[in-house]
Amino acid sequence: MKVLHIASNTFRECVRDKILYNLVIFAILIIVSSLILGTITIGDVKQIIINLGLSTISLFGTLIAIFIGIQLVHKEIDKKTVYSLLSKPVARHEFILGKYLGLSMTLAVNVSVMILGVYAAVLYLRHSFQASDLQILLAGALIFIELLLVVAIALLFSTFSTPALSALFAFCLYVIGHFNTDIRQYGVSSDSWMTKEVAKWLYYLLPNFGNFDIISRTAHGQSIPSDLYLFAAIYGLTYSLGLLLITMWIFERRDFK
Amino acid sequence: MPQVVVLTEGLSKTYKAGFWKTKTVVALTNLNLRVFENEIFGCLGPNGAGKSTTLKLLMSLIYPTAGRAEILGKSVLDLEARRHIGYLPENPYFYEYLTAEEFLAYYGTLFGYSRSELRSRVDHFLKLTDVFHARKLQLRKFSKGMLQRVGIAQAIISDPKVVFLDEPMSGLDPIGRREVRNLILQLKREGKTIFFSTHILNDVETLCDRIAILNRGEIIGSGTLNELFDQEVSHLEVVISGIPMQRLRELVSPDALVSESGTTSRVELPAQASLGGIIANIELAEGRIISINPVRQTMEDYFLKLVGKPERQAAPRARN
Amino acid sequence: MNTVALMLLVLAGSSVYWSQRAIDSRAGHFRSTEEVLYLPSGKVIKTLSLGHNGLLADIYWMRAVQYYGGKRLKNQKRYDLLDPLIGIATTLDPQLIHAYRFGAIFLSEKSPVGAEQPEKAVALLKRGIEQNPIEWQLYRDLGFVYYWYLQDYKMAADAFLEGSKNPKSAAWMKTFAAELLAKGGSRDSARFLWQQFYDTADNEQMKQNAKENLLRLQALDEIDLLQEFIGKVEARSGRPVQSIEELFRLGLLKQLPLDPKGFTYSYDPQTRKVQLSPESKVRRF
Repeated sequence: MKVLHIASNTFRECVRDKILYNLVIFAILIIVSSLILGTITIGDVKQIIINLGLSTISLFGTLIAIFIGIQLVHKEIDKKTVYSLLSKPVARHEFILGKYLGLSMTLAVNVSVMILGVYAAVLYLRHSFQASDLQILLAGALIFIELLLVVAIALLFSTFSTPALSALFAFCLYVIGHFNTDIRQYGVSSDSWMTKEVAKWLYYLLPNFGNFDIISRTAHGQSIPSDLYLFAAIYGLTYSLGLLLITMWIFERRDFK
Repeated sequence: MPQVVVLTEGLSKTYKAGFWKTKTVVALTNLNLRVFENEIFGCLGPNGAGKSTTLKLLMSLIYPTAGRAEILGKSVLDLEARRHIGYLPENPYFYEYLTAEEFLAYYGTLFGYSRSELRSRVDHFLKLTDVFHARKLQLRKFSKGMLQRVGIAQAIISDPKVVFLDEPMSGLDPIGRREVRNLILQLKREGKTIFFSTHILNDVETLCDRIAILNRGEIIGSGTLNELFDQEVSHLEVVISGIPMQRLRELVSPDALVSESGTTSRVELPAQASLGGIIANIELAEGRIISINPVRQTMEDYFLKLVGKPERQAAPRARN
Repeated sequence: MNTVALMLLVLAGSSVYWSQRAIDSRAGHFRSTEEVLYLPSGKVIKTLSLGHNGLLADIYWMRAVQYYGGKRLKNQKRYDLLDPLIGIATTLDPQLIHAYRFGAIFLSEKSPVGAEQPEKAVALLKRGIEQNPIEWQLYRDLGFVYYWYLQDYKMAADAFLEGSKNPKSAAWMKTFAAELLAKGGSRDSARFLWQQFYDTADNEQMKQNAKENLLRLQALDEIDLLQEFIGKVEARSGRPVQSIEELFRLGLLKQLPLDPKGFTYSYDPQTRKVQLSPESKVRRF
């Protein structure tokens, strides 16, 4: 399928751009932390490693998602490779899908390797696994879904904006998305009907990254109720789908001057 | 009646420019074109004339504000029609992290070829465009000429019936230009139709069967070279040495123009002039005839006249 | 956009909305505030905030107010997060004076009005005083907490006295401290303090709370009066009084006495005590 070919070429581009080297930095971080923590016996060392590991996965993943995502389409337009590609029998929306899948695959590899790293560190520190350690995998999966959403946002901006502006917007949305609930609460406490309505609309319209906040909980060994997890996953996936559809629509209509 | 391969009717493109998108820029107005099967069609015009716009409209990279275009009888928006066309954009830039081989293979997969067919096509076209030796080299290391040839390779990888080239010779050295020219002629021999745009008159003169001339978004002439401008002899030019200018003037008829350049003198005579008497006079005066040339109107003269730029004066005309 | 894509977009949009609502109803509206329990200390957050501690302080303060005033699921314990939230807000911005005050009252009040943690209120105020030694109101509030919620009149007097050393402080604090030391607590002094509170409250919830307490004090006064009256009636008639309605029927009372919220008082002949009616909305503590 053409989409898969475009995706695998995008994956190849990411690999050759040496993005996956971030895994090396991650590995060093995790190894050094584990070695240091292993010699100190304070409280719950496992908690720290899980916190550190998952937070790093989220952070690195978000950086990759934004900085690669905003270039995905823009680079092809800027360098005009998109000209020769689109003259082939491939639809514009297939191009967008392929790009999205390619970066998603790169992130999937990234996250998986890092999760393995976290498990390795846990094993080193505790010499065994517990049933609750499954949470780490689930947390990693939800982080991945969160990253899919970030990629979708970055890709959307990439189709019509410059890298600098796109990075700015994507980053802003990411930050605002973490204070979504506060915007809602501000609206609830306000007396003005207008503020209430606007706050409510913003709450549902803007991406609510708070839905994916499970790192601290996982580090404490607490599980997320499965229905909450399911809804968070649905939220992330369908929001990404919606953004992709809009991206495809924008890309379909534009002129490549 | 030869088949119409490319057709445009009233094709127009207007852009909205300016910060508030209030200014309009007319890139192309009411283009009506016909390209026939197996001909080399040249789209000629100065920079900004609308040549690239025309090509992009044909490739559906931009959408028309009015009119329509067809390739091989199907609308340009038809995805499947693209199996039979190839396109080389202007100043192409390809994925620098891919090797030539990988690049062609990538594009090839978009046509849905099987692995073995892809392999043979990639090799064949790499050889045809003489970049086979560099197939494992990353494109970032390719020279401009090599990139252009790879570009043509990706344009013809599906063995298309129509090939569109946007300024295929731009930035090439004479060797590169010759190679591309030969490729184009080769493609014609294989039965393909070639449509290319250029601002280099010489390419048009040597390659094209028919041309269209664009200026400021409008088509100002189209047809074969013969149809477009009179290639008949406009005047005769005789180059002489050994006779001073004054003396020469006395020897030739009054409606002849005489000029001097270095050690030789030049006499321009009307095309129908009988040369016999003049030659005899010159030999009697012990002058030497170096050459006799029929002069045709050049393409350049025609073109420059058409696009409204003043004709360059070849040499100052002497006053009798 | 073709119809399939449009339908998908509508589907995606409604799915986003619906799943968000599902999450909200299951996790409560205060998910983000519950993360507070798992967060490192306020100091760490301050460092991480990269200079934006003022903004973050406001956000946490707003969350605290929302948390206190908002709806929550029935099975959640109330106000557990109030102390951590205000704690973080005041660590991020130690000069958030109204946060200390708000926290002092609502951490101390009994359930269901507050967190019933007056010790936490004391700790909060002490931190506030440490960071803002010239804010005499914090001493006043500390004294108040000791007086009303902890009934520790000695500590209360100390706080009022300390606060009165500030030349800007309210004039009554010094004499009030002396009175406390001499006589201990009394309804009049309590009423005085709550009235002070009512007059200087800077937020609707606090004003309302002060009013509730004042009304209670008023009811207590009225109960005392009724009790005294009943005592006199019994002494004169020689018979025990059965109920307040009886006194009204007998014409001894011109009208049925109502408590500050409009409910009748009730009299229990067994214990011989006047009380608030069971339906009364006056606060009972």
